[in-house]
Amino acid sequence: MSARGATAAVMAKEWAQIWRDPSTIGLVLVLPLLLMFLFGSAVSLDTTATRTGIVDRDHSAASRDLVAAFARNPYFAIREASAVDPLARAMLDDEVRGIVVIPEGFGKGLANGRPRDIQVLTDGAQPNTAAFIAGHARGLLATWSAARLGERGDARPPAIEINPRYRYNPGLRSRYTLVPGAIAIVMAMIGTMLTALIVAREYERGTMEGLLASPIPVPLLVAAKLFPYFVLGLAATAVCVGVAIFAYDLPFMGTFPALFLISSAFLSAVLGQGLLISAGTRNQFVSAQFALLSGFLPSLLLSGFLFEIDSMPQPIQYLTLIVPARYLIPSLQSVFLTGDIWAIFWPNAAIMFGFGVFFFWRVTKAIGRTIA
Amino acid sequence: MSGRLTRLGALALKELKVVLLDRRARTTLVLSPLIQLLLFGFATTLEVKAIDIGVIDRDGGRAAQAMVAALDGSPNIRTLRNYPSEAALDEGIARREVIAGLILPQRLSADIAAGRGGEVLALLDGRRSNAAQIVGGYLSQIAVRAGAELRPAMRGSPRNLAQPQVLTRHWFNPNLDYLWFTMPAMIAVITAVLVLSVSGQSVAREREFGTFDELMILPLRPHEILLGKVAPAFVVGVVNCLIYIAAIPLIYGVPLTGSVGLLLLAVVVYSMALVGLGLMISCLASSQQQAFLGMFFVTVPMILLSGYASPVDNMPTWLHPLVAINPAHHMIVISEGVFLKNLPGDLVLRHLLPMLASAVVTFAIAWTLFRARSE
Repeated sequence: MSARGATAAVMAKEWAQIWRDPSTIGLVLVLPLLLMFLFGSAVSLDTTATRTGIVDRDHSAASRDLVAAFARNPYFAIREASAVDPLARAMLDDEVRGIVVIPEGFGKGLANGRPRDIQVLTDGAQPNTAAFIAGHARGLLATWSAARLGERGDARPPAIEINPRYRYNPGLRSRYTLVPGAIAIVMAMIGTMLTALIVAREYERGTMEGLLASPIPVPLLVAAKLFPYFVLGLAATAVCVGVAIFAYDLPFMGTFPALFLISSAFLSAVLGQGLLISAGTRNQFVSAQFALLSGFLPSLLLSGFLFEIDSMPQPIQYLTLIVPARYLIPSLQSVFLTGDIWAIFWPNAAIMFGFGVFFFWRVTKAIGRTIA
Repeated sequence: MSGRLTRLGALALKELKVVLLDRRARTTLVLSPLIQLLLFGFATTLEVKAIDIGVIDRDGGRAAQAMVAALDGSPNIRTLRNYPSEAALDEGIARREVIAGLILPQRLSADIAAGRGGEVLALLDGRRSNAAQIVGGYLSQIAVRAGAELRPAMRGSPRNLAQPQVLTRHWFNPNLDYLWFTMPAMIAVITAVLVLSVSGQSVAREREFGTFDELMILPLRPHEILLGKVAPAFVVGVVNCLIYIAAIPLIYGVPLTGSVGLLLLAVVVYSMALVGLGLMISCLASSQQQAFLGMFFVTVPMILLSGYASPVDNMPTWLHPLVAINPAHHMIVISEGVFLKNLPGDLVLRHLLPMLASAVVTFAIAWTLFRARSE
C-alpha cells in the first residue's frame, strides 16, 4: 500500500472509531450546548437586586425617606429589621449580603447642618458583592442628598462629570463577554481532551506498534490521526457560534473567513497539545489528568476570560503567555462584537499556529523515538 | 464478619496501590493540586490594574490639565496615550491599545470657570464588560478628584459641604482581600476535579481491560466491591483537603476562625458525595474515555453552578434548585463560613445534609447499575 493510501486508511479508521463511540459525538454536540447554556444563562456578572438589610434607628421623616429611597433602588432588595442582630445572623446564613444602619438623630443632624453618617456593614466573604453594596450605597446617599438640597435650591452640579459610553456592548451585558469566552473553552476542551486520549489508548491497548509498523512516515501518521479531530473541533465551534447568534442574540460583526482563520489557528495549537500529552504519557488516566490541568483550567483561569491578565502578579503574567486561549479570546470577542480587526487577528493567529507547529514537531519526535 | 472486613480492606488497599503505584499518577495526584492552589490562587483577581487610557484633549485649559494630572496620579493607570481625533481613539480601542478613552471637550475649562458643570465623554471597551465597568468607576472617581481641585474656582453655597457620608465596614474580610474568598472555595473546586477523575475511572477501567468479571468472583457483595473501588478516590480527596486546610492559612494568611472539626466533617461528607457521583458515572460508562467525558460533563456545571465562578445571587431563580443539589456549592458555603465567619454548627449542618443525601442517592444508583451489569 502506498503511503498516501495508508494515510487515508488511518484517517478512515480514526473516523470509524469516532462514529462508533457515542460519547465522542456527545462531546462535539452536547458539550458545546451545555457550556454555552451555562455561560450564557448561569454565569452572570451582572449583579441585580442585592439582598440587603436596613435598620432605621431614627424614625424621622428624613430617615423614612432614605429607607424608601433604598427600597425603590433596583440594586437593592431591602429587608427591614428593628435591630442589627437578626440581620447579622441572616448574613451568616447568606440571606443578606449587607446591612444599612441609619443612626439616631439622622434627621435632626440634617436639619441643623451637622449630619450624622450612615453605616454600611457588608459580607466581606463575598468581596465583589460587598464592594458593590458599598459603592451603590454611597451613590444612592449622594443622589438622595443632592435631591434634598435641590428641593431647597442649594444644588450645584459637580465640576466634572464622566459620561460613559460602552463601545461594542452598549448595554454592558456580561453575556457579550462571556459567550465568546465560552466558545474558547469549548474549543480548548475538545482539542485537548479528545486528542489526549487517542494515542494513549493505542499505546495502552498495544495497537500503537501496528500503526508504527505501517509504511506511513510519522508526520503523515500524526496528521492522519489529527485531521478528524480538527473537523470535529470546527463542527463544535460552528454549534457554539450558532447558539451564540441565534439563542443569545450576540451580534456577529466580523466575517466567517476571519472566524475560520482564528479557529483553525487555535485548534492547531490545542490539538497538538493534547496529542503531545497523549504521546508523552501513554497512559489514559495520566493523560486525562494532564489535559484537564494544562487544557481546561488554564483556559478558564489564565486566559483573561474571567480575570484580567494585566492585574495578575508578574510571574503569572509570563505564564499566561504559553496558554493558547489567551490569544484566542480577544480575537473571538472582536469578531463577534467589533468586526474584523486584523491588527488583533494576524499576530494572535500567527502565535497560535506557531504553537501548533511546535507541538506537531514534538509529537513526531515523541512517537518517532519508539521505532528506534 | 471480620473476615469480610479484612477482605474489603484488602480490596481497598489493592485499589489504592493500583492508583498510586504509577509514578506519574502519583505526581499528578499529589503535586498538581498544590501547583493549582498556588497558580490559580494568584491568578484569580477581580482587580483591574495596569490599565491604558487614551485622551483627546480639545480643551487645553486648566480643567484639562487637572484631569490629566489626576489620571497620571492614579495608581491603577499604567499609560496615558494622546489621540488626535475620536476616530483615532475608536481605532485604538478596537485594537485594544487602550481599554478606555476620555474626550475632554473644547469648552471644559470655560464651563467650569463659569460655574457650570463640565461633561467628559468616556468611551470604554464593552468587549471586556466587567473590566470596562470597573474602569468606568475609576474614571468617575478621578473626575471627582480633579473637580475638587478646580472647586475653588467655582462659586457655590458653602452649606452643602455638610453632607452625610457612608461609613463602610466589611465584616469577615475587612480589606476585601479577594484571596480570602478564592482560597476556601478552591478546596471545593480542586477536590471535585481530583476525586471525580479518580473515582470516574474506577469501574470503567476494569470494563475496558476486561477484568470486570474477575471483580464478580471476589467473595464480596456488590456494595462492598464498590466501597473498595472508591477507597483511593476518597483517600485522595480527604488527604488533599487536609493539605489545603493547613496550607491556606500558612501560605495565604487566610484566617481560620471556625471549628476545624466541623470543617473536617464537611470534607469527609463532601468527599463521599463526590465519590458517589464519580462511581455513578463510572458504572454508566463502558470505556475510560466515556468515563472521562462523563466526569467532565458533570464537573464543569458543578463548578460553574457552585458560586465560585460567579455569585449564586446572580443566577436566574429557575437554576437555584440545581444549585441546591450541588455538593460543591454546599462545600463552598461551609468552607467560606468556617474559614471567615466562624459559622455556627447548626448552619454547617444545614449544608452537610444535602451533601450526605447526594452521597446516599448517587451510591444507591451506582449500586443498582453495578448489580444490573454484573447479572
